[in-house]
Amino acid sequence: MKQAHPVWDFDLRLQAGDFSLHAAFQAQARVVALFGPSGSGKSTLVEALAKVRQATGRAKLKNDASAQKLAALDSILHDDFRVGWVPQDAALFHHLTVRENIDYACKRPSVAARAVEVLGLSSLLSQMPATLSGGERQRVALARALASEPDLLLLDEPLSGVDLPRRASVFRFLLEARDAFETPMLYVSHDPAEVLAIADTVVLLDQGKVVATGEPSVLMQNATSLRLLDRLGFENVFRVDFPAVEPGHAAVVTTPAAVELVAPSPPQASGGGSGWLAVRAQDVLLARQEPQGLSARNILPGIVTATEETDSHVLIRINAGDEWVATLTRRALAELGIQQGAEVWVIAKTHSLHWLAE
Amino acid sequence: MSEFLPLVARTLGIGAVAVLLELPFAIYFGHLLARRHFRGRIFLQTILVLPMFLPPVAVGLLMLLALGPQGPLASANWLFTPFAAVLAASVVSFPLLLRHAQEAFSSVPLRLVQVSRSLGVSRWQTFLRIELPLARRGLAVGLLLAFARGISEYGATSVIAGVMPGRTETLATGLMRRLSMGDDSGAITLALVSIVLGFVAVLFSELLLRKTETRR
Repeated sequence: MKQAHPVWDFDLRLQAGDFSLHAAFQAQARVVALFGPSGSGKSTLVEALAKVRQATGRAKLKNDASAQKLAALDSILHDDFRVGWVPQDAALFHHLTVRENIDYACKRPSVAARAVEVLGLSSLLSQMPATLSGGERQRVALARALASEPDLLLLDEPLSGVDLPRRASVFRFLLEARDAFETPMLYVSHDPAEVLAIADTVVLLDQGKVVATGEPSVLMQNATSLRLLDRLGFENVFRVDFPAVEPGHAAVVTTPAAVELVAPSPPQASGGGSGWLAVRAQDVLLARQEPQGLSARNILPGIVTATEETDSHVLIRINAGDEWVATLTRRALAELGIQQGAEVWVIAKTHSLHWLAE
Repeated sequence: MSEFLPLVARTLGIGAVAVLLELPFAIYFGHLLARRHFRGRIFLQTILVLPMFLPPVAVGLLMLLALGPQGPLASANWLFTPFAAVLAASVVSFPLLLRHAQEAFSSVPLRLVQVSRSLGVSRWQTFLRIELPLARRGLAVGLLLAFARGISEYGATSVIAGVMPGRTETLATGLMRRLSMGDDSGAITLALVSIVLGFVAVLFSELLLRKTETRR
């Protein structure tokens, strides 16, 4: 018999320097997605639940499993409540092999074996973490967490360190792990598509506060939330004019700075008009020289106006006529020698541009 | 040259026992100073590192007061024994090992410790399975440098272990004794042996350090 979804009951407060977090929401769901822009407090909340940060208040997760334990153990903040934390950078133990990482906190070998099978890690077991790709690292970190048989899985933007072309396959593994294990999940993301695909409930977080909670499909279509999503999900949003195009055909649109972009077919393609076009910062590529022979249609020269460090990556602001935002890892930033004033080329594939509903 | 072999062996033995003796303390305090922020941390660090910046004879004098007939450790009867030479080498070289231990533990990403703890692994197990293995190269560099410092120790050793040929005499104290007796060739030989031993220890530590940096 299928278990009823666990009940989440949160009213949690936390102060980290100048930043205040107040996460208050109730939900009945197996997978709750935390959705919000960089700096909204998503990772801070996850770290509080991983007991890395001190928080006060209530963070309860009641399900059939916790009902069988002591009443105090439905509190995620309780020392005996087991969380399986998968941080953005995977944080694999780099002196241990993949097998040793997965077995690190494993109680039953059969559970570790199942995690290895579901996540497709059999061929990687003898490898060291340094030899793995970003997606493989995330899968190993997830297997390590699952093998510890946690009461709750905390997945903090598990695809953020994964190359764009590999994201879909890694995400498929995540979905398979969700279906193969009964463990409740808190899934942090700023990708609406991921949230729609994986979560039963989405909690929108902005500037340390919960601004909406609901079913992903309802919330993502909701007119009020869409305005939030514009800001939460996409760092690059442009008001553009587009000409009349045949439905299904790409459109050359014009931004406020009169820059032309090649975008997918606009929603009301036939008549032409204006609309909001959005690009995720993580979908924007940067090059130091003008790229040649690239399939991407949007290649714009620009100047870096600012770099801002976040917990996991660096936000790069670029003046390419309009202001663009891209994200890079610290390593990529150093290797490309990108700093304020640097000349760069902004690259965006046509299909990484998304039309937002009016 | 063979006449010096027992002296070289004794010196190496004293240096090796000295670093093994100080290792647990360096690990404990190195980890404490790297990971914990508490009141008096800077004060504790200063006290522990101080022997490196004091005249070794002054360190020897303080140890003499502790080990001497009126001192709190008089009953141990360590004064003017080979173990006194071990103690002198330990105290003088400890700050070097401590500094490297502290740096080695600081370089272990805190995130790994946090993840280990979040997976339900105890503090002690996390230390044994994550922090200690990841700090081992830094600790090995510290051990080699502390060993090099220990076998070249003269001031404190001569005060509390004396210079007893065949018993407490080390390369450094033996060199000084030969020099004062006018045995220049013996002194030069011991100086050359000291240089070679020091060179080898420091060279190995540099190689290890380079390997560690390449890995990062």
